Amino acid sequence: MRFGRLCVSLFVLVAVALLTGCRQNVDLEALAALSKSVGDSQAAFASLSEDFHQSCVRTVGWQRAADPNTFSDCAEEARAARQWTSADSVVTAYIASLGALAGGASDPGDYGISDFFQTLGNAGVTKTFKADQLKAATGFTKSLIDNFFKVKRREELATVIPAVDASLNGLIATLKEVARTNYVNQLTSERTAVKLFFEPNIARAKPGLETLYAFTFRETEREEQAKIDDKQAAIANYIAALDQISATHHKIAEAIKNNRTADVAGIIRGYAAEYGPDIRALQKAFK
Amino acid sequence: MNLARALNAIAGNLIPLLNSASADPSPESQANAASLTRVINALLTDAMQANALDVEQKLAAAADALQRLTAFTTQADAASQRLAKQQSNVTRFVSLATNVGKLIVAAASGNVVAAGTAIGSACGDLGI
Repeated sequence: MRFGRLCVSLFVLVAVALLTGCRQNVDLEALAALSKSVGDSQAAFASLSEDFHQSCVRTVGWQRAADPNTFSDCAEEARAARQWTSADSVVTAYIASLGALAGGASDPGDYGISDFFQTLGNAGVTKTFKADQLKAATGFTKSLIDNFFKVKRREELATVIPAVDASLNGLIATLKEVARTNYVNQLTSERTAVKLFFEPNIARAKPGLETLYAFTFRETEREEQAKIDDKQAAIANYIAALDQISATHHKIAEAIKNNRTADVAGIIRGYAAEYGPDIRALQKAFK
Repeated sequence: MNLARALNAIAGNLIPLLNSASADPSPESQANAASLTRVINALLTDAMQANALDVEQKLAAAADALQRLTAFTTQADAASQRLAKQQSNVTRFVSLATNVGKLIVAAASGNVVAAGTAIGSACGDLGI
């Protein structure tokens, strides 16, 4: 009898040691939190990339106001904007998949273990557990099963994250470049189109009443240029948000490679503190 | 400097000329202003198109990274579904064992109704 208990105790100790010793440096809850914050920002990213097309539409509006014979359907710009949005989605979908793999919000309950133990007691296989004993036995068994699956999840994550790190960083570098150069070029075209409409009309104003009207005209032009300024300022937030995803992912990949226990939660806490303000600024610029 | 930026720069530099031409009410200057407007518009349209093509080229150059990320996203999704299924299988297995236990208890005590219920539940666990 004592030998049996000893065997059971040894088995439990070995099982717990195995379950807690493997790949514990991937913090599942922290990864799920990272995934949620990136998932929430998908719409903010899309508002910027889709504005690449919207800016073309606005530009053509100003161009036509200056010369009604001008026409462009912005088809090329629409296609480029869709591709940019899709590339953004590849990043956010990847991070979301890490969150799902980390466990997300899924709760398997107690796997029906308490009912099982009660039945064992009723059948006379074991003694009948008192309420607190049943709770303890159920909790222990559930945590053993949970840990088994957590180890599996950590192993999968520890395979995926380092393998994808270089590709993610490369893609993010491209997305930043598109925002920094191409979106800025598009906004520059829009600025020039705004000037093209307003400035010759202001220059044409004759002394007197027309000059007076020109003041309000100038003010409207400033307002239009300010809207473009806000959008251009949001590029910095988009780039900062992407930088944070890239840097956080890279640090997690390094923590996994170097088996640095407990680094991941700290890395993600640092990321969460900086990521939120950039996303809120993006949402504000394109509301 | 890429093409779009160069075209934008030329268009921008023509705006002061357009303003000067517009300020002069003579028919010749107004005609010049109209021509400059058309030129600037054409430059802007070309700049936007060249810029959009540049975006497509940059994203096409990142196709390998995009494909690799998509493939690993699929792998991670498949793994999370597989693990979720395995977890639900544990629940089904425990439930089956519980119902078999209930069946044994019911059979031992001669409780036909409870035995029938246990058999029904066990069949449900087995998907029968």
